[in-house]
Order: sequence, then structure tokens, then C-alpha cells
Amino acid sequence: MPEVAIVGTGQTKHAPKRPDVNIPEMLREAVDRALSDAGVTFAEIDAVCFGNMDLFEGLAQNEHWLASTFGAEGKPLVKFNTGGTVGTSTAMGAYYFAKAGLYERVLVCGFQKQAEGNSQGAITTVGDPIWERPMMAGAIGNHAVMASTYAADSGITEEQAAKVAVKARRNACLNSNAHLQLPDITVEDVLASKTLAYPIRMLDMCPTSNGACAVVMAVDGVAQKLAARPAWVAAVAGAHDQTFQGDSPKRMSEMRSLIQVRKKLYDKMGITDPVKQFDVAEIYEPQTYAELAMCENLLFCPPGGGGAFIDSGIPYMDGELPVNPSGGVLSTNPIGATALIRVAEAAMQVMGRAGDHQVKPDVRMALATGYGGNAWTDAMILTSERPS
Amino acid sequence: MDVAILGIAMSDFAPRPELPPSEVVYPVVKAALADAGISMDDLESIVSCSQDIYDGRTISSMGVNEVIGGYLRSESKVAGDGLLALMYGAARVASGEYDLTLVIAHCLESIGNPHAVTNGSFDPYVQRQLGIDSTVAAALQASAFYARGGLGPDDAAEVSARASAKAVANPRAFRSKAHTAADVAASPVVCGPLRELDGTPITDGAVALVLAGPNRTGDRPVWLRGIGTTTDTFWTDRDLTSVDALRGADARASKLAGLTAADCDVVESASRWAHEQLMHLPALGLDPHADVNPSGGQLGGCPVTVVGLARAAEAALLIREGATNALAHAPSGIANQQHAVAYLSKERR
Repeated sequence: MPEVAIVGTGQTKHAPKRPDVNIPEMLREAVDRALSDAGVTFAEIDAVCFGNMDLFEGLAQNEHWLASTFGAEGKPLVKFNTGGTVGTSTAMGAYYFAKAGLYERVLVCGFQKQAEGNSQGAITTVGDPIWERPMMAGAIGNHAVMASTYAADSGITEEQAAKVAVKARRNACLNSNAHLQLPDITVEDVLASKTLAYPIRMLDMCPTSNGACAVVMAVDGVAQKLAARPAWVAAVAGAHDQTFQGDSPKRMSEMRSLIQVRKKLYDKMGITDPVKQFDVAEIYEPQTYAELAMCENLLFCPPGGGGAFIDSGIPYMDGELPVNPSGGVLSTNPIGATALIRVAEAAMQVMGRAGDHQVKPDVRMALATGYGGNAWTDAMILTSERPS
Repeated sequence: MDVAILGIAMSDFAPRPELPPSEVVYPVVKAALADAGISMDDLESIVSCSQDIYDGRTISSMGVNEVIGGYLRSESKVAGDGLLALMYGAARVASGEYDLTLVIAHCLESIGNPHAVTNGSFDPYVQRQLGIDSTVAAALQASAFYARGGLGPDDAAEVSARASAKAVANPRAFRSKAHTAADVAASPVVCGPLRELDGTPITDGAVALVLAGPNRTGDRPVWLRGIGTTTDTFWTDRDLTSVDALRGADARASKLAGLTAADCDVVESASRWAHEQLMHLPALGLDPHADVNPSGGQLGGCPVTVVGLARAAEAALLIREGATNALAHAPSGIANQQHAVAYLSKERR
């Protein structure tokens, strides 16, 4: 079966509001940029994979309304809808369709225009209607429970979590597409920001963004013609945790879905020392504590070592393994596109097209993860070398 | 494609508002695994198919996560017709990265307000404010189709009557009473020219298939030889009587399968309204009044989202019972914007 690579990416400037454009116009910005980056036109695209959480804007089956926005008329179109992971789920779908030999060039795209809806109102309905909705409604309540149990297990301090917030928003200043760019943010600012649900403060949490992302994938033989340095999809994995939080009380200190995915990816790629072997990681960190927990579960540091990891400087832009040089989810979160942005950012690093936040010229191996559902994980490893 | 259907299970289709999705889905998953002769531990991947708007739950697959084997496995969700989920499941198997893959579609269509739910799929800036819903769009399509001359409401009534007779003989179908073309013509107008008995009763249910690669086909495999889909432009940007997307989907599936509708002894073609079948069958190269849908089809009662996978399941069961080749077809979207077609066979290509 053919190998598959990313040959172009495109994003909007992510923003708190986009009153200047409607949904199709905003989505088309990212699609046009990805096609242009890949050097292809709609006529050369074989199929479209689209991801979005349509209930967030009170929409339904919006792939039909938007079909012409992403040039799907006359073509195969598949819509994915898996929550926070939807961007990676959509990219994975495109990867499997190409890998199965069905299509040679696939457009992957997603968006969220949260200012036109009520995302937290919709997210409230992910919980079981009887047991969970009244107690942990929305993303913030769920994350507060997870973060506090993780902090209790690992001894992470509020200051260490705040450092993640500072790193993200400063990195975002180097990424012209990022939403929340705060060049002067300090740990004190984070600790002084409003408590949303303890221990999560306003600046510990990802923002509510409006934006879109698109990626073009192509199979072996086509990819090399479209990009001087394609980002090859070298390994892909996904796994779910249990739905009820009560069934996985260590949901953040022992991230079962991430561990499952890590084992599969690291086995396939022969990864034994991820800090040395990865050149960059774009991980889906919905809040500050989660990034440290994910670094532990990805074995970037020993279990319980997340606090020491951020203190060490390793995950900073100039550190040994930059984590989220784009500014991450903490700086940009148009939910239906967020996980696809992780994939696009990892691809941009491998392709050498990340501009001011390029971590080094020769990125050989990059990790992208998606996180959502209720502690679900998707992940992809992208490489500069074609998998053999 | 070298993909085999190893396990097949379907629920009855009937309104089940007293049950949560997990309790509709679990018996079907269990039956599909048993039919395939495997346990949940053997599953390598899962593709589910549902729609948040119908379930009233964001990430509708979360409500069935454990019962479909999602825990610690790669599960993904297609929001669309069940044949698209089958296409994704088949791609996962054909990619060589997964073998045993469960495809499961579920929908509790009866628990929502059909007008509000389908109104949500129109463009939010202009059309939705007009109060339009999928029934109105289907009625406009039927009017345009009848205005072309040739076939008319009497033909649709015959399609509906034939479907009801077959559904009565199918224990899974909802309709338990056959009606005549005269009954259709005497039934209340829902939205002119559509009458109540031109349409599909609203039901709930689930369908599951277990897919496998060529090395693990069991002793009675059904081969998924080809599957394809094509979408068209949004309903207000096209001729509502166009079936170009169906022709496109059929061409893609046919090319992979090396089969056409003419090669098939079973055709399961979904229509929410009877006039659609009159439009669709000629696009497949068949007579509009061809004797299709031995199950009674969607007109016998089958929820949206599930419908395409149900057509494939019915076709696969008939291949097990002796048919040679089968075609499964389902449209989706407003006025059937998108179509998917699958070819099944007892012979591997």
C-alpha cells in the first residue's frame, strides 16, 4: 500500500471573532491557502475529508451546505465528528483512504466559528444526562477535576502550571496565525487571573477561537512532485479511555488512551528516547496541567516529573524538545480545527515552512496529538524521510 | 478491494424512545461479533456512524463508547450515512493496518423533533429562517421530477405499495400492514405532492458489520468488492432532479468491483420518499419500476444514518442465502445531495 505524505497546509488567522466573514468564507481562506501551499487546484483533489463539531454553532450535517466551499462537488466527501480529536480523526481518515489506494490527493479541512454558537452549551451534553451533566458540565469542570487529581498525584505546583501558560502565549507571538499572543505575560499574571474552577484559572485554559485549518495529503510518487520536502505520515494511532470519569480516577496522571497510543507509535518507530528522537512535538493541551501530564505520559520525562520538566527548559522554543512552538491549544482553539492544526504545525516544521516559529531547519521527526472526547487520544508521527 | 464481511447484525426498526443508544446498540454489536465468530477482544478497530443532532448529544459516539469496544481501541466516527462508515472501515482494512474492524451505525430518530432536526441542516443565514425542512425540500424535488413528465404520483404510489408488501414479510422492518397504491393516494398530504404513505415511518435502530482482510474470511464470506461516494452542490445550487452524484458514486464503486447493477441479483436502494426510487433506479441503469429491495427497503422503516449500512447488511444476508452479486445504495443530505453505492459478491474479485 502506498505511503502517504502531507504536501501543503493552510490556516486562517485565528481570532476571538470573525464578524468580517461567514462560515464558508472563513473556511475557504484556509482551504485556498492549503491548496496554494501544495501547488494544486480543486481539479487535482480526488476527495475531501471534513471535520467539525456542528452542534457548537447549532448546525447539523453542514458538510452538505459547505460542499462547494471545499470543492467537493462531483467528489467523495466524508464528514468526521469526534470532539476535540476531530481534526486528527479527519486527518487519519484521509490517511487511511489514501493508504488503501482509493485516492491520490485528499483535502482535509475543519473549522469552528465559536462566536456564532455556544460551544460550552454543546459540550455540556457530552456527559451522561443523569450522572455527569449536573456535576461536571462543559470542558472547564471536567478539566478542573482532572487537573486537581493530577496535581495531587504529581506534586505539580500552580507556578509550574503557570509556566506552561507563559511559554505558550510567548511562543504564539512568533506564530502569525495564533489567536492569543501575549508577549509580556508572566507567571504572576497567570496566578492573578480569575479562577474558573480550581485549580484552573483563566490563563491556564485554552481560548475560544474562530478559525479554520486545511491540509493536503498525497501518496508516494505524487507527494515528491508537489513538495520538495513532504512530511511523511510514518505512524498513526488512536485510542479511547472509558466514558465515565469515575471509571478512570487517574485520568490525567495515568492517561490510558495516550499510553496505548504511545506504545503503538513508539514500537513502530523504535522510539526509546523521545526527547532526543523527536525534533518537535505539537500536542493537544487544553489547559496547562494537561501539557505536563501529557509530557509525562509520552515519556518526555519520568512519571511525576512534569513540573521538573518545565523547570528544566527542555520544552521551550530553544530547548532540547520544543513542545508547541506554535503556541499550542492554549493560544489557539477553533475546536473543529484544533487537532488538525497540531498535524499541520508538525508538518510545517518537517517541511521547513513554520516561519518564525520553525524550531530548526532540519526537523526530521515530529509528533502531533489530538485529545478530546472523554480522554481520547489520536496521534501521528511525521518524518522528513519516506517510511520504507 | 480485498475486504470481507464476516459478521452481520441488525436490530428491529421501531420507535424505542424508552432506551438509551447504548442499549439499542449493544445487542447488535454482540450479535455481529457472535455471527463473525469472534469476541470483542479480537476487534482491532471500530468505525461508528451517528449524528449528534439526532442523539441530542455532542460526540454521539461517546454514548456508546464501551459497548462498541472503543476502550483502548482506535474508534472513529463518521457523521453521515452508514455506507460512508462502511467505506471508512473498508479503507482501514484495505490499508493493511487493521484486520478485524467493526462498523456500527445507530440512530434514535424518533426521540427528536424531525422538523427542528432537519431544519438545522439548511444554511443558517438565509434558508433556515424560512422554516424549511427536509420534507419541504423532498416535496420541491418531487414536484420538479413530476413536472418533467413521464412518471408521476401514481408511479410513486406503486413503489410504496410494493415496498410495504415486502416489508410485511421482513421481520426487521417496521411496517406490519401492507397498503395499496389506492391507499397511498388516499393518505393525507404531508407536503404537496408528497402523501403520508409515500414516505418512511420514523424508527430507531442499529446495524453492525464485522469486516476482515482476505486472510481471515470464515467459511461463508461476503466480499465487499467496491464502494464509492460522490456529493453534489447544495440543493439550491443544482437541478433537484439531477442524479449525477448517484452516477458518480456508482461509477466509482463499479470500477473497484468490476460489477454493474445489471450483474446484481439483489438491489437494495434506499429512498426516504417513493418518488426518489423512480429517480434513482434509472441512474443505476435499471427500469424505474424494477423489482428491487427484497427487504422492503427504507420505505419499510429504517432510521437515517443507519439506512445505508442496513442496505448493505440486507444485501450481505441475501448473498449468504444464495444470491451472487448485490448492490447497496443510499442517498444522504437535503434532496439527496450525496450518494453512496457498494457492490457485494459471493466471489472475490
